[in-house]
Amino acid sequence: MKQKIGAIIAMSILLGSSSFGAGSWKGIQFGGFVSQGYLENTGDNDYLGETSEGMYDFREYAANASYAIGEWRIGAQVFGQKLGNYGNDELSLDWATIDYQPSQWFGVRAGRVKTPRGLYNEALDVDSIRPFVLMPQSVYDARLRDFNASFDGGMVFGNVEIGDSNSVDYKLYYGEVPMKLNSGASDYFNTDFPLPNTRIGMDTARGGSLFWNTSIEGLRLGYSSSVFKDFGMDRIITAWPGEPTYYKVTSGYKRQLFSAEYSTGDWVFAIEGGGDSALYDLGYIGAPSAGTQDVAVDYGYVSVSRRLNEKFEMGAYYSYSKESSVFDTDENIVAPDFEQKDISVSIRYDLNYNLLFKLEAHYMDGSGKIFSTPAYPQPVENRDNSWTLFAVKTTYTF
Amino acid sequence: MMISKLFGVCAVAAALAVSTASAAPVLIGNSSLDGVSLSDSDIQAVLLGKNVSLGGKRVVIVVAKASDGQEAFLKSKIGKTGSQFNNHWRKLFMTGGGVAPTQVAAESDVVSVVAATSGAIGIVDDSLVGGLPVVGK
Repeated sequence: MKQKIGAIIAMSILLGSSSFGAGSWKGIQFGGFVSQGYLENTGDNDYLGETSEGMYDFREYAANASYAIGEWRIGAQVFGQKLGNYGNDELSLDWATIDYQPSQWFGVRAGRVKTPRGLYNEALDVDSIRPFVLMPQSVYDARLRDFNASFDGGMVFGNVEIGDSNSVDYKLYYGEVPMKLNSGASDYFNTDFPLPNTRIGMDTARGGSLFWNTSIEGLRLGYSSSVFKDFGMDRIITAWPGEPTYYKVTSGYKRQLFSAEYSTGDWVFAIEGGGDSALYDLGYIGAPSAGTQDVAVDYGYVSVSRRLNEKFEMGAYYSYSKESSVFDTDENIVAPDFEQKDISVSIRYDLNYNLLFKLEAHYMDGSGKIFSTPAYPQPVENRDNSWTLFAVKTTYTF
Repeated sequence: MMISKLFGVCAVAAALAVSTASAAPVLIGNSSLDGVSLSDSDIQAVLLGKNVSLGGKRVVIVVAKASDGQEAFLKSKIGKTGSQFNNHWRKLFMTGGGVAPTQVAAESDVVSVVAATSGAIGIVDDSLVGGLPVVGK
């Protein structure tokens, strides 16, 4: 891992630096970032990793290159991360796209494309554009990074002027989200019965976002939606004779998110709220359906940030999430609601254009976003419900 | 005596007025963009990367690292501070949404890079325009 980060830093120094990119060579523009953080919380909860003990396994790094000519643009970014048990410092292709944009109102992008969702999903890894260490986890769960980050497929996009200083940004996509068994998403969708997944995936993903840039300067309103078709997973019940394979699949895992952002002077206010829903069919492979699980997740946050001067920026948010499940099976299964409230305050210091430091404190009411996995059980009854999380992070952007 | 004082005051006022007028930032373009005239909404679309070509040329945005005129122009035309403009482009650049502006040290460098780059635009004081076309103001 150290060699990977070292190579990325060496490349940035070699190419020089500016506020936007590491530099360019024959019209090819290079850039990237390296970050390292630390997380620790009071009590015994382990949230994004082994945070009760203090955790340095919290870093991301990326390097990208882009080239544009005429109406065409190509580019790619490699990305690596370590967040507790996830990422494992393995480099992967974050995005790799070819764009054709013949006009302001219409463009096409294909390849591995960043997923449009809400105000900030596409830029979740870009620490340098916000004061927060952790984005509101109700909407932007860091453990779902791989699931949320990008899809393989195509997207149409554009900006349509609708008169009187109003315009609409649209993005519509179709493809699939590659998923790994050792990803955070595999655990996230496995909290009802923590049995080891042997498969997780979907047939297709489709969705998009629509943002109205209103005639009120700085105000934009948006709606994002996505559907993952035939999304599901298989699990082996190792404790049972013959180790039968248990499946859980839904014809459509649906997500939607409403967004509003108002930027005035050095202030940025944001609010987002929405939910996920899915009706899973449950059973054993080769046997009749054993019933259904109706899952609903509601989430939202409100945030404010202010650039104080050239060096300092502050931010705060309140974030809320609640996940509920209703089972309709022969067995009388009652699942608890998973609820968590998060009040956060952050401060950011920019040493220069390229290097920044952040400090953040969270007060958590509830423990609904703690994972209980086969490898690391944290049953609900053993969790602290009132706890504080501290986060520190530094990022070098080139 | 009074007349000469009044004349002096008028002369200073006229000089200040000229000075203020010459401090107006404008959007200049490479000679390949001669004849292009952008409305406020066109300027906004180009500076935010929503429109990537002008006059059949790929737009290359050239910005000075620090410039009061550029800051005022950005605030007036796209409603963003320089810091917010940087963040906007960092977001696009890091997520596959666009090729970032070329950054140079000062406004005089903006003029020279715009002059040498086909499709380039940049924000400079109108006293620095020289022979380059003004595509927006």
